[in-house]
Amino acid sequence: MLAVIATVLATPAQADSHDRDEQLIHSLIVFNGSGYSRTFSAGSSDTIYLLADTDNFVTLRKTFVFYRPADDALHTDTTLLDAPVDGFLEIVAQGGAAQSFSMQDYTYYNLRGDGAARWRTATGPEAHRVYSDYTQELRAYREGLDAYRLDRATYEYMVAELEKRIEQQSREGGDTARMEDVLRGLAAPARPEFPDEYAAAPVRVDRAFVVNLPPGSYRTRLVRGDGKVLEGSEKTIVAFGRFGEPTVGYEVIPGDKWNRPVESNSRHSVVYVDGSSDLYLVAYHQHEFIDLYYEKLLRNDARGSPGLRRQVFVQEIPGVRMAVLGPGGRIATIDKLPWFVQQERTGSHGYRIVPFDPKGAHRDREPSLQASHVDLDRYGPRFRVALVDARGDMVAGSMRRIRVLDGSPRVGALVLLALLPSAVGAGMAVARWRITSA
Amino acid sequence: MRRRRIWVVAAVAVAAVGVVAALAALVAFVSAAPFETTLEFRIRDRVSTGAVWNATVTLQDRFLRAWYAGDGETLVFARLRPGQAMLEVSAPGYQSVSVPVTLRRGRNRIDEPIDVTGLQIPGLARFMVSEDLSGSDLYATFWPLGSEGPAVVNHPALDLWIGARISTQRPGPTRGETRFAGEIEWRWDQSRKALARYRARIPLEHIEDRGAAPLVIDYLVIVPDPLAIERDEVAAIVTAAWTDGEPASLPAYLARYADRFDFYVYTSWSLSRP
Repeated sequence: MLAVIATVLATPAQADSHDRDEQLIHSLIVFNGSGYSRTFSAGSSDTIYLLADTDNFVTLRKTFVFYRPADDALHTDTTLLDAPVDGFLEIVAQGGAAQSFSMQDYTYYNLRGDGAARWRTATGPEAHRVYSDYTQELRAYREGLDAYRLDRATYEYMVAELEKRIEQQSREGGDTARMEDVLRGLAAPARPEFPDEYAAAPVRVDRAFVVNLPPGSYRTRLVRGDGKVLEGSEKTIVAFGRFGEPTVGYEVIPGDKWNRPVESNSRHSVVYVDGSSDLYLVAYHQHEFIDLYYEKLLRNDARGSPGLRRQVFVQEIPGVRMAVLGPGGRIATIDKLPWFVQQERTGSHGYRIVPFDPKGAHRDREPSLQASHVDLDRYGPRFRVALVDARGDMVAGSMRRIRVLDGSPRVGALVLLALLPSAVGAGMAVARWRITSA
Repeated sequence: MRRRRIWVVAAVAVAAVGVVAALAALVAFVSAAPFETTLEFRIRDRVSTGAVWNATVTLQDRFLRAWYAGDGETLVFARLRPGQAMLEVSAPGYQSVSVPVTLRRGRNRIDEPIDVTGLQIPGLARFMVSEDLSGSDLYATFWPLGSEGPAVVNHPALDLWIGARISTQRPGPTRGETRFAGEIEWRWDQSRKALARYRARIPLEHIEDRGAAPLVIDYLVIVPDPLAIERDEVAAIVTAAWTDGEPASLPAYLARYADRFDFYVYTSWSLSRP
């Protein structure tokens, strides 16, 4: 018995003792439509998936690879071995010309603005300049912050001291006018602004093959300066694109489950919402990809379906407002606003979603969500929402039907339904009693 | 007429059997005869029989890189051309090896591991020794240090001669009575996570009666040039001088063999049990 228990207890530990295997991997930093994500192609994989016409960063390196049963995935262990292999990356289009890529210094970043469209790559000396400029900006901000903290402490000390003296002076019946003037003239130091040029700051400069390919299938391999091919470096690259133009998707955030949003990806979909709660909507552009390719883009050893398509968030849609449409046309226009989730002891959810107040209650905090708030009590049980651009025209594919379900359960009907078998039984008993007594 | 029909049916049947047999033969040929030519082999450090760190192996127009190769791992070249070829193994600090191979179409294999001889510890400037005196014996770890300071962790296994002279320590501090002087045996720590590879156990039975006096240990590490001197010759030159010779005259004596080996001296003072 003890042996059985010991075996059972030992099994997870044994399953977790990963065998690390030295492998040549393709380390990949890939553009996923809205940003960059990391994955790797293990020695056992023969295909790499990249988004077409985007910059991707590829290195070949020797490291340890192991399988972790807990998440059914391959992982790298770079603590003991992480050795890049230098050379030229040859990429040959099927039936087309060969290209050769050299490793180069690079950084990537996202300029604040219109989201995915503003991702940039800098290479060579430009990469160093961009990163250096950013770090200098950051250093200047930190130094400014240190100076601000000192100035702020001095300012608060002076205010407190003056207030104390004014109070003392007025208690003693003296003239406080001059000190009050000084107090009024004291200006609070301005807090330095965090450099907000970047939505995603430039990453530390690294070295890789910067690969940007049109849609298609390619063969790749790493070749040394003397023309010798690195064993295990030969793979297929699938550069895939999206289907058609971006469409509109919605993040549907119910007020009673604000951290568990759902998506509405199709204009044919109907959004059902609980009428007892609030509704927040965030519209975004989405692209449609083959599910298998996209899954393998994010994680090379993932599984996916080649026959399915999936929608992928790309960026929020700039310069649009949300319109609520009733049977007779537009009822209201809703702006996208910042909201703050305020924890509360009372209330059924333990929190309340309130307008974000950056200068008051929520000073130095970040909004919990930026969304268009749809007041369900105002528009009845059935209405539609759509996006309108700056000229007031409706954005194609942005219409969604909303159905508001009555939030209060019909308790009476449920009780009647529960009593039905008892009523039938009672009826049968009465009927039988009448028959037997007749 | 009937007989003719029988002949036709028989001919068709024979032809069908022939087609099936031909297809079966084709399938058997395709599955039995590999089209790709591969070579499987292993490399290992001649002294440690373990990994050859940072190895590059070339064959025909292909190369592969290996860091922990030799740690029981089989290396494989694929997409080779049948015929005569030269397999070349090189790694920092090792003597390059060339092995002629005859490749036949399909799978090829070199059964015996290819031994690679370490020539030097790259960047070695000196040795440092750390001791553990908490058990019944003294365990010493020998750290090869580069000129910049950090330890060289992954390097060829060289067949070192290591000697220790254990003395009691007198105030001053100075060396007192010598309790042990001689060669000590080391072992190579092959584990991937090891930060130092050379480790030795020094039995303390010789010095157990030392009382409470702390110990001072002088170490001598001889790093031979494997192309210039054999291990036995090193022992013949060094052992007597280390064990019985005058310590002060030892450096001058060893310097005479500078073209055949390098030597490093390290002293640990004030060793005592915790």
